[in-house]
Amino acid sequence: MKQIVLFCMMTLSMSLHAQKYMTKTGTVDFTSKAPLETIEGKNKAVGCLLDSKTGTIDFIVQIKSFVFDKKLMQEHFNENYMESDKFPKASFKGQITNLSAIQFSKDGEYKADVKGKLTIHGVTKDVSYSGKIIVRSGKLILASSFSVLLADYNIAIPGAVKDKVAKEVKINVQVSLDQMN
Amino acid sequence: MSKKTKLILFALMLIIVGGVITWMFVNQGNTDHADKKASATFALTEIMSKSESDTASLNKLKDQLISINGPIKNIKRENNDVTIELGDSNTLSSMICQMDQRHLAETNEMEAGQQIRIKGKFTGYTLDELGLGNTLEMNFCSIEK
Repeated sequence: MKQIVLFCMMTLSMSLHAQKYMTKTGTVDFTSKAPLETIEGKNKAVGCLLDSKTGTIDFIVQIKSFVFDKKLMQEHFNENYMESDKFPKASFKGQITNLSAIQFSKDGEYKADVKGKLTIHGVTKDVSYSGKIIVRSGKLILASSFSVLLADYNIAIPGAVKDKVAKEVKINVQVSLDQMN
Repeated sequence: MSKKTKLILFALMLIIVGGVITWMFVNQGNTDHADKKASATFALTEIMSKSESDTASLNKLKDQLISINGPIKNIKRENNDVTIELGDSNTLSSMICQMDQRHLAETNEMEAGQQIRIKGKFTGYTLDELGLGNTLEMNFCSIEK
């Protein structure tokens, strides 16, 4: 009897673990298009954990890991706008709201609606976004694009650069998730 | 040439030179750290253990150029970018290294399991916040021979 219970617990434990998908090398990039300048930053060290059973989805982004083409952009982004020493991380903690529409065990492309809390620059906001989940050979690819108003996250744009930094930036998220062993 | 004309030409030259210097300053690319000396050198296990017991010393390393010796857990080549994960396959904790675009070719022959020494700018860490283990991060990385 004990052996049966132990076997059931082990099977349950393994199946619960298999519902989680993760990466530490996801991509978040953003574009700020202003009249005088386009600024693009990219971070390919984004952590993401998705639980296909509960629909919870979490992201963590180290702000200093964003990479820019120009040295000055890199410095201004960290020191003047994101204050990355004071607010080193951004995060999203959310929930897939149309979980029943996504078949994680069947290859295909599914629309995913997500709502949750987005924290940037120390400010947390309730947000809802849509994206897609591609299920392919046991792996998941998540992709979403949305815009963020800098003022919503207390990111101030000095008057001197108001034509160089957009008030609203476009953010693209793309992560490829592997099943956790 | 009158004194006034000379002054105007000199002022114009100053404006042009100033403009060129400003343009160069504003548009200069990121520093290539490949030929610079790392301020600290660690084995991967050594720096990962700091994330468990000595985050104060990790904080001191932020923005520093550091050199790490460890095994490749995973190497991701995507859209002309390369990201290397250093770590042991038995643990979730690892170090993520975003390669400098100027040094991607150094990774062409690399594969998981290989021992490498990699240098980059330490950007920070997360402590198992999502259940992904501790994660240390570097960017502008290059491979040390």
